[in-house]
Amino acid sequence: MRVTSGMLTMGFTQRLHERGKVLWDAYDEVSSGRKVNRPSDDPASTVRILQLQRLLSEREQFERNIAESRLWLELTDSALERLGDAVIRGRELAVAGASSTLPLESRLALAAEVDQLFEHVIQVGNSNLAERYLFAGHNTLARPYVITGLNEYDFSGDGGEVVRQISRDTTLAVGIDGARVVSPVLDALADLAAAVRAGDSAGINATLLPQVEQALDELLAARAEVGARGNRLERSQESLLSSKLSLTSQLSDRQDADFAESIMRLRLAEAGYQGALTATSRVLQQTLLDYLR
Amino acid sequence: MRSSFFGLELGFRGLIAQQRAIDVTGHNIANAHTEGFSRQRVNMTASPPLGTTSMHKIAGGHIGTGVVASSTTRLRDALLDHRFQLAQGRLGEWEQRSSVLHQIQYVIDEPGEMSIGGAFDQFWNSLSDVSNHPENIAARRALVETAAALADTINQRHADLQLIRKSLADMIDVTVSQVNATLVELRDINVLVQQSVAQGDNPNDLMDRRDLLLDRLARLTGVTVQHESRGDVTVFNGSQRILDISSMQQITMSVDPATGDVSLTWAGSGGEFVPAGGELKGMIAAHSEYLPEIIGDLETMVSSFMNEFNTVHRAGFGLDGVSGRDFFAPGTAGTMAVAQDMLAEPSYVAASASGAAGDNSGVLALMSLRHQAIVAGVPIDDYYGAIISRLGTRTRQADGAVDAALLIKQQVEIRRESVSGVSLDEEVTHLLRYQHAYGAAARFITTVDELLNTLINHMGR
Repeated sequence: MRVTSGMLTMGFTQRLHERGKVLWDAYDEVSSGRKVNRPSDDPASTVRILQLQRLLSEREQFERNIAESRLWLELTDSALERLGDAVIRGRELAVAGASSTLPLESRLALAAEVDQLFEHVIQVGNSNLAERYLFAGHNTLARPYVITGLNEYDFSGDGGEVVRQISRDTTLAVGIDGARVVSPVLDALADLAAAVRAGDSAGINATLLPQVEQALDELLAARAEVGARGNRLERSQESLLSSKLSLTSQLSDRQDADFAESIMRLRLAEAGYQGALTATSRVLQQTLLDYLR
Repeated sequence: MRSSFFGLELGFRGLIAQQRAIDVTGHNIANAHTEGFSRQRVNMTASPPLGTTSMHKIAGGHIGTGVVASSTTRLRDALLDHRFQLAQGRLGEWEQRSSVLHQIQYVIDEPGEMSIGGAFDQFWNSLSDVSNHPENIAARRALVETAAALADTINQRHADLQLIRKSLADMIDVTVSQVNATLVELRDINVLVQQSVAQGDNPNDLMDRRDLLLDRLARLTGVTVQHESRGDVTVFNGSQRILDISSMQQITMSVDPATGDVSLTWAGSGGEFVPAGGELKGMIAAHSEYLPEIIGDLETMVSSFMNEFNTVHRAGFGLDGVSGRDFFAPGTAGTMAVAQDMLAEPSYVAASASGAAGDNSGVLALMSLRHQAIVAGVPIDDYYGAIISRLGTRTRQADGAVDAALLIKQQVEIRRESVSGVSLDEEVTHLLRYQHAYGAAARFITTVDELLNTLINHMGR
């Protein structure tokens, strides 16, 4: 095959461009730290990377949702605890009031204490997290318990379930309906105060003591539920954490360039380019004219 | 019987033949780097010998009468030209396709955080934040802001894609003008070449120019060339005749102002012009397939999303207990916007399913849309993923085609250079050769001169 100087320059230019492209790609990878800088670099990986990014973002949001939920549950739990203390005190007062030998002054003093306890429970029933009321169901912006008279109240909660999304398919109820745990206590206390004032120790023994016991049972059951939900949140949080770790590592696998490898590739590319340059310079310089005369 | 001055003529013929050869060698050297130049060679033939039957039979047969530089031909392989034009057509087409696809990839900017995918992530997350605080104005305001940001991102990308399409239309216009101008020049040269060939000449430099124009045309619009025996060429676009010795077509380009669609037509007949290959084919494919497809897909995705979202939103209640409101204003990708009243009054966001402020089931229903099949039978993330995947695969394939076409073009180019290219070393060698022959011919003339001198001046005294 006849070889002309034009062919030599063509060949060299082509080789230099090829080597230059390899150098450029290696540089791209090192300077960005990424293996996949655009979909065409690796279409299948790109789709996976997008999926992983979505999943990670979702999980971070679920973490936030869980943190919110834990706050709500913890406040509910402490309110229930105070409620429990109040009910236990109420029971003590009921036992004392059940005695048929109380003089009038003692009875009046006892009833007054029950009145106080009633107001205290109203306050607990209006527990709130930044002005969102815990026991109001979905009517969170309005105080659920309003005193309308001596030992009389109005309840404006609607019993709606407050739920939070803690994973893609799971919501968790984080609230307790006031009607279930607070109202029975208020009712029992109101009845107790009236009964003590009336001196109805038989009635107290027969119906009020059991009523108070029932309120206490309901309270304990509610606390157990809240505790269980708290545990569930904790488990979800742990599982989210490990899921995030796994996803992050997968993402890095797909997307990030191994620095050592990339540098090595860059070095090789540089060497290749220099080799082409050297070869070019050696061959291009000689012509016949150098040798004639 | 030979003439007395026979030798002088013979020497003279040798002299001018070698001189002609040196001239051609000089021409080659001067054009060593001229684009499209094919090296030329002098064909020397022995001039017609003397030799008729006569009474005086000449011993040894005919008498040679010297040399004539009968023709100068160029060294060119038409088959290589044909292969080169095919390769150029293919390369031009795929380079254009690849270029536009890379531009689209740049606009779409995935994987990236400031992309449509990233904006959607933020939107879904702020929706979830509202579900944690349905009564809270700040969370609602944040939602409305991220929704507006999402709309901005989508609209911006949409506009950028439209801009690419518009610029491409401008480039098509310029390319069509180039094609037309090349055709006009080609027609004129074609006629000149044919006339010259008809007179028995070799218009080498004109033919080189014509081949250069044909190469350019092949790159622009993928033409094929047929060489006629008269010396002219006929140029085809596929099976349609675009130029021959007696006719030439021109191409018209027009843009529909409403849709931005480009149409190419034959200037004469008005029929559709479909480029057989080359840059025009690539640009048309990008303009009428790649760009409308991805723009259309984005529009489908966004309008399905907005419609479904609005439908669920209308069923919910704002903080004021009012239901039936849209979250997004009517529109699609390019005109996407949050409804004015939502922007002004975030409390209108329908988070509740019952009207109660602490009820977030409306928002939960909106959040669940993310994983429902709301766009063409698949969830929105999957649909978007498929768009990106198609784009990436297509671009990768186009890049591969460019590499392959480039390789072939380079190989053919080198072979062409091997046949037609000037080798300076070779030409310098020829120079020596012809120079020696010239010198020898001159010496011969001197010898003949001396013979004549002897004959005329020194005989018979």
